[in-house]
Amino acid sequence: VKSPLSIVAAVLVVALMWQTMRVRDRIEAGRLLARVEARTLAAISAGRAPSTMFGEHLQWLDRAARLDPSEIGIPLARGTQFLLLRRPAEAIASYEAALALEPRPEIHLNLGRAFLLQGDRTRARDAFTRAVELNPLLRAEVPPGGLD
Amino acid sequence: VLGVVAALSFALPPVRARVAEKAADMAGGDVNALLTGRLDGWRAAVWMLRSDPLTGVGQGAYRTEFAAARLALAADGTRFFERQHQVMFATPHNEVLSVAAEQGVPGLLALAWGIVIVIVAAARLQTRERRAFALAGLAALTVLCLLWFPLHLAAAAWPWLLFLAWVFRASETPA
Repeated sequence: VKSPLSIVAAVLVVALMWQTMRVRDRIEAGRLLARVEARTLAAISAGRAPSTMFGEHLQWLDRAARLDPSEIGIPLARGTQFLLLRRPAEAIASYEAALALEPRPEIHLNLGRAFLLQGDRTRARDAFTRAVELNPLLRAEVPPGGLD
Repeated sequence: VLGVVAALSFALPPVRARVAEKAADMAGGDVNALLTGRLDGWRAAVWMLRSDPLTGVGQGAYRTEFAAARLALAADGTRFFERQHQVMFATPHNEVLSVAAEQGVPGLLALAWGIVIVIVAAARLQTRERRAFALAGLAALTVLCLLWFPLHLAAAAWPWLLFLAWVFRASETPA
């Protein structure tokens, strides 16, 4: 019969292993996210992107989201991919998923851009207004007429 | 010691600029600017405690509830620190208010109990040197906890946890 202390020690070792595996997953998710962001920025700077790039990015982001569901950067990057692909409905869904994790002002800003792309000026204005309420410095980032 | 700190402050240009900036904030009576916007985080924590006094908003949920708190406070006419570039707070920059916001009144009671037993343990230390060391450490930890979040960062927390462990162990050990 094991002593209570050894049972506690065994539980702690299992918890440590579990946490280590979670950290490993989070590091891998962060690596995938960083790769997507770097390639996206490079494509934007170059003004063009390989035809397979966005498909690859969305696959990587899906994998990253499975590894680290609480990382807000993943749905945010996913929304950006859809925004660049000019698919506003999917961008909106991604940004709303990001907002459910943490309502940051820059997500409201991007959500407003997606609504604007979709042609929904009322909801775009609401999103831009919320972004500026949370961070007045974002006023300069709002597209012309976005707050009217 | 204060003289050395003052001399170093004026010898180092970035520190000197910071001291001048804070002196101007103090002269202007702008407490929030003097605290570099910390009042924003503290007010949000108090708002969360008021909205959920029994449970708080939940462990680690301060950052996700901050936007709601900020919008509610702004609607009530609260003015926020305008020179803040990072407007969203992940913690209130005050460990007591962090507990208040995230764990509510039960958390505050548990924290108060913890503080009392640390003080009792420090008072039980048997030599003047140990007591002086413990009190100096506790004073430093108190200042840090009231203006920052040392217990939220593993790298900052572990030396303090070791220190607290020493206080408890030494209080039971004869000199």
